[in-house]
Amino acid sequence: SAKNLNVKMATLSPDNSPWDKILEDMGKSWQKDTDGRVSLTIYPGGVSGDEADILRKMKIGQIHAAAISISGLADIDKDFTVFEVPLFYRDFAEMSQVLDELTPSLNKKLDEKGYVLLGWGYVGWVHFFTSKQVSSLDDFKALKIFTWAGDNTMEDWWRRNGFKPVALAATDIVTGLETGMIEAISVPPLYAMQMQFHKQTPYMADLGLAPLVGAILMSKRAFNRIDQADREAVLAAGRIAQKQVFERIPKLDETAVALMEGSGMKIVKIKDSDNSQEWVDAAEQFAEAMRGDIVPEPIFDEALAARDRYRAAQPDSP
Amino acid sequence: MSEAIPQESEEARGPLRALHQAENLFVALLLGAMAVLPLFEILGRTGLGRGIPGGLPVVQHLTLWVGFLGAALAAREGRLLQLATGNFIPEGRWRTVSGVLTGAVGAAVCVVLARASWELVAIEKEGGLDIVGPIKVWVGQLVMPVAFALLAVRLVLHASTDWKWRAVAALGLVGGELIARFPLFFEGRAAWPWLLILLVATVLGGPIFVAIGGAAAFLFLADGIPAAAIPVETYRLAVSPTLAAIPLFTLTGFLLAEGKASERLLEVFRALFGWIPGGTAVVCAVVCAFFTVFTGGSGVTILALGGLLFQALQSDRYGEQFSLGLLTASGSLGLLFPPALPLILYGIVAEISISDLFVGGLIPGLVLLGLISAWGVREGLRAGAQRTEFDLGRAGAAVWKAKWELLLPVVILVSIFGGFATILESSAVAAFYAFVIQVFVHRDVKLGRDLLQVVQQCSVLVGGVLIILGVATGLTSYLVDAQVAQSLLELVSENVESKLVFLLGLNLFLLLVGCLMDIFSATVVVVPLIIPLGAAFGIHPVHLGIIFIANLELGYLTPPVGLNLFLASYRFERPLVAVYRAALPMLLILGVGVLLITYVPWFTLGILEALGRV
Ligand code: NA
Ligand code: NA
Repeated sequence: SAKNLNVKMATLSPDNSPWDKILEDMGKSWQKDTDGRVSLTIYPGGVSGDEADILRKMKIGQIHAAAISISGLADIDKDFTVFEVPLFYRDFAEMSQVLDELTPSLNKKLDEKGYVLLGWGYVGWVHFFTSKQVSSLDDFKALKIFTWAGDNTMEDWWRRNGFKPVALAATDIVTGLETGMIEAISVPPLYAMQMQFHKQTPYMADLGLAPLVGAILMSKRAFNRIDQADREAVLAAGRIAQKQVFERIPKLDETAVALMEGSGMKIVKIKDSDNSQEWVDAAEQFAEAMRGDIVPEPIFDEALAARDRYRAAQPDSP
Repeated sequence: MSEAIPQESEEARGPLRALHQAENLFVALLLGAMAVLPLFEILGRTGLGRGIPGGLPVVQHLTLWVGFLGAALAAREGRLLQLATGNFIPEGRWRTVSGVLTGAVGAAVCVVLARASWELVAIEKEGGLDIVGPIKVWVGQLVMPVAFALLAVRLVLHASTDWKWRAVAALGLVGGELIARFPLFFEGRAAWPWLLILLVATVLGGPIFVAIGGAAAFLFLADGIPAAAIPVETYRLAVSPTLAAIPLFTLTGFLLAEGKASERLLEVFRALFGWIPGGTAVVCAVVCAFFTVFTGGSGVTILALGGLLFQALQSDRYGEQFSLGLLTASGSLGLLFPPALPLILYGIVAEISISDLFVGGLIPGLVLLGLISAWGVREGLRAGAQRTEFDLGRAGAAVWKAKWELLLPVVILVSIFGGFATILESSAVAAFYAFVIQVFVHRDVKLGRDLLQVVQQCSVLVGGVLIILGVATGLTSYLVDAQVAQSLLELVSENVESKLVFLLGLNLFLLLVGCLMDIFSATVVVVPLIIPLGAAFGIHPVHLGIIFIANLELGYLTPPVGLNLFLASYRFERPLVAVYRAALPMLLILGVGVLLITYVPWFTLGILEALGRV
C-alpha cells in the first residue's frame, strides 16, 4: 500500500524526558529515510493510560506502537518476568548480554502475540528507597513496602516471603510516604529523583535489585501497513534508539544518584557490608521460589545459563 | 447542566416486578460488597486480621458493575441525568415527537456502545489478564455490553407509553446496528451532522451520556478509529484505584440524609450560632455544606434538606426571596471541603495527590461559606429576623445528641491523614460508620426494605453519574488522540503573556463550561486540556484544581440550566424565573469569592506551604 502511515506511539515516559527525545529522534529518522511515508506522533507521560491500557489500544488499533516497561511486557507474555528476579543480574553489562541471548526466544513470543520488536529499552536499575536506615534483612522486613495496586502476584509474593507489602495506586504514593502508610519503595534512581521520593525516603540501599527493562513495540497490523521497502529503515532506526537508550540511561541513573546525594540522600552500604551474604542468600532463595511460580521454567533456565556463561567468560571470574 | 429531578415511572407488575426487585437486590449487594472489602484490607494491614488477596482489583471491578447496572436502574426508573430544557416542551404532540426522537437516538448510541464494549471483551479474552485468581478481566468487562444493551431497550420503552410509538423509537436499535456494522462509511466524512442530531436530542431532554458517548463515537469513526476506543477508556477510569470512593461517599451521604441526622445537625448549629444576627441563615449554609461534602452537590442536599431548612428560615421571619436564594446556592457549598467528590475526581483525572487537594480546598471553602454567611447576617439584620438565645446547656445537649454525625468528618480525616487508610478505604469506613449509626444507634434506617431502598436510590444516582463519566473519558481520549491540548497550549501561549490575563480568561472559560456541563463530566473532559496551560503559566496544580472546582460550583447557579436552579424550582414549587431572580445575588457573591480564590493563591496554598507540601 502506498498510503502514508503516521505511527501513533504511547509511552509512560514524560514529555521531554531522555527517552522521549530518543523516540523523537527515531521518528525523525523514519520521516527522513522513508521520504515522509512513515512518521511518528508520540503520546508521552501516560496520557493514553498505563501500560495495560496502551496494550488494549494497540489491539483495537487506536495506537500503533508503544514504548513500555517490564510491567506491560509481562502482561503480553509471562516470559518477561525473567527480568524481575531480584539480584539475578550483577550489572548492566551482564543483563544486556543475557537480554541479547534471550532475544530470539522473546522475539518469537512477541511475534506470536502480534507485536514487532523495534528495540529494547531500559529505564534504570531498581533500588530500594527507605524512610529509615536499613542494613539487615530483618530491618527491611519490618518496613511497609510499596507495591503497585493491581499487581496481585508480586504483592502476594512479598507477603508469602515474610515482607509487609502495601498495595497503593500511583496517586497515593506521596501521601502514603508522608503519612507512613508505606516506608519503602523500589524504583530506579532517575524515577525517584523525578518524583522527589528521596525527600520522604532519604535512604537508598546500594544493592541494586533488578534492571527495569523495556521495549519499543509496534503492532504487526500497523507494521504491515508500511511499504515493504521502508520496513528495514523503520527497524534500523529502532535499533539505533535501543543503542542510544543503552548508552545514555545508565549514565543518567548514576547522575541521579549523585544529585540526590547532593540534596541530602544517604546511601546505605549493604553490598560490601557484613550483611551482604544474608541478602545474596535470600535473593537466591527468592529466585528459586520465583522459578515456575512466577517465571516460566524454560526462560528462567535459559537466562541462568546465559548469565553463568557470561560470568565464566569474565577475566576476574574464579 | 444535568438534572436529577425524579420523574414519574410506571410501576411494573407480576413477574417483571419480581425481576426488577431481583435487579435492585443484586446492585445493592454489589455496592455493599464494595463497602466491606476495603475494611478487610485495613484490618489486614494493621495486623488485626487478614487482607483479602486482590481486594482492590475486585473493588475496582465492582465499581464498574455498580456504575453500569446503576445506570440501567436509572434508565428503568427514567432517572438518567438529562438537560432540564426538555421540560420546556409543551405536552401533547410535541412531547410525543421529542420522546420518540430522543428514544431512537439514545437506543442507536447504546447499540453502538454495546457493540464497541463487546469488541473490547473479545480482545481482552485473547489477552487473558486476571482480576484475581481464576476470575478473568474480560468477565469483569462483560457488564458493559450487557448494560448498554439493557439501556438501549429501556430508552426505547421510555420513549412513549404507547407501543406504536415505541415501535418507531425501536428503529434506533436498527440504526445503531447499521452504524456498528459499517464503520468505514463514517471514515473521512464530516462528523458534525451526527453531532447536530445528538445536540437536538439532548436539548429535547435525551440523556446526557448519550450525547457525550455518541459524540465520542462519531468523532472516532470519522478518524477511522473503532468505537471500542470508548469502552477502553471507560474501563480505565472505572478501575482507577480511587474511583470507588465516589459511590461509597455518596452512600454515606444517602444514609445520613435518610434518617433524622439533618434535624440533629440543624439543632446543633442553631444552638451554637443561632444567637448571632442572621444566625439561622448561617446555620442553613453550614448544614447544607456539611451534607454536600458527602453527596457531591448532586442535588441530594436541596431535595433532602430543602424543606426542613426553608421552614426554619420562614419561621424565623427571613424573606421568602432570600430564603429561596440562600438554599438554592447552599446546595453547592461544601464542594471544596474534604472529602467532597469533585476533589477526589479531580485528583484522579489530574493524577495529583487527593489529600493535597483536601488541604488546599479548606480555606477557599471557608471563604465561600463566609461570604454567603455574611450575606445572611446582613439579611438577618435588615429583616429583623428572630434570634435564639445562646444556652450552654441546650448547646451541649444538642452536640451530645448529634455526636455520631459530628464525628464522621473526624473519622474520615484521621483515617486518611493518620496514615491508617487510603482515600478509598476511608470512604468504606465512612459508609460503614454511617450504616452503623443509622441502623443500630439511631435506628432511623431499618435493616431490610428501608436499607435496600436507600442503597437502591444511591445506585441510581451513582449509576447516572458514572455512566456519564465513563463515556466522557471516551470523549477525552478523542481529544488526546487529536492532540487538542497541545494545540490549545500553543494557541494560548502565542496570544497570552500575562498570568493575570490567563487567569481571567480561565475564569470566563470555566464559567461557560459550568453553564453547559455538569461538574463531573467537565472534570473528565476539560481538566486534561487546562493542566498543560496551568503548568505553562506557573499555576500550582492544586491551586488550578481549586480554581476549577470553585468556578464549576458557580455553574450550578448559572441560568438558564444550572442544576440547583431546577432542583430548587422543583423542591420549593416556585417558577424557574423566580428562582433565577432569588439566586442572582448569591451568584454575584460567590463570583466575588471565586475571583478571590483565583487571584490569591495563598488561600489554597497557605496551609500546604506551612506543612511543607508545596
Ligand atoms: Na516520552
Ligand atoms: Na499491571
